[in-house]
Amino acid sequence: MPGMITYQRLSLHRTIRLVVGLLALGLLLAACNGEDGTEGPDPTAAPTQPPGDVDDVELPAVPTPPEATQEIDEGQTVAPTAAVPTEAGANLVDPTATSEPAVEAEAVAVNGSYEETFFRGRADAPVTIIDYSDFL
Amino acid sequence: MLGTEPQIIETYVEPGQARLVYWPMLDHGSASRNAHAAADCIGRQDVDAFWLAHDQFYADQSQLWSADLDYFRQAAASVGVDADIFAACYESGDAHARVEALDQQRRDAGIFVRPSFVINGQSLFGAQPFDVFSDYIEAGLDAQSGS
Repeated sequence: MPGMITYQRLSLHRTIRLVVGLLALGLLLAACNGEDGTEGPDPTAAPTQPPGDVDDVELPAVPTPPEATQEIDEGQTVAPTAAVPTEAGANLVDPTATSEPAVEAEAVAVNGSYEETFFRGRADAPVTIIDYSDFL
Repeated sequence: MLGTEPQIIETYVEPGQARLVYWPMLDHGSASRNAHAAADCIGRQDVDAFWLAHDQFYADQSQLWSADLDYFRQAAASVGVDADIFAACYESGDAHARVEALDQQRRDAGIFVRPSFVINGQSLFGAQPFDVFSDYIEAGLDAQSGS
């Protein structure tokens, strides 16, 4: 019978070891799950993964650049306009300023009415020649 | 139009030192009145067209003796003005009255010699060489610059 007792002790001892081992393993797993599975990663990863639709993730990234590009385009469009205003403004002003006086000068200058008849030349010419030598 | 006129235009009118005023002389009855009235009607529409017609009439003076409304309509159209508006002006008689009034002013001013010119108030009678015109014009320019 002492053999039986020894065997039972060994058996019990093994069982205890097995249980302790399982418990230890369970604790380890629990510990691991407790840290990783805090289920915090979901919210954290959510933004990155749930949109997990890589497309979605890239979309926000793409739309941002496009918008920026559009803004840049507008900016460029405006920038040139705004930056060029100095240059373009000068260019616009020159022709305008140059043409206006010219138009005024021409308007005053070439041909017109003199009393009830007509003259040839500039209206503001310093000398007036009345010609009584015309046809018939 | 004098032979010297192109030179006067080139030397003084085009540079802006002088302007040349057209003044009708109606010495040939209805032919003169009609031709000058036609030119007047063209000028009422377009002064530049007037000068084109003026030069054309001078070049074709022999045609003006027998020119009628159709002739003048064609002349008006050829210088770019509206022929119907021209005809209405011509037939109204207003243009004839205007040129006759101008001619009367000329007579009242004692201008009877053809050609005659008044350059800044100074009368010049008869055909003259360019140098004579130049002296008058230069005198007028000097007077203007001195005043």
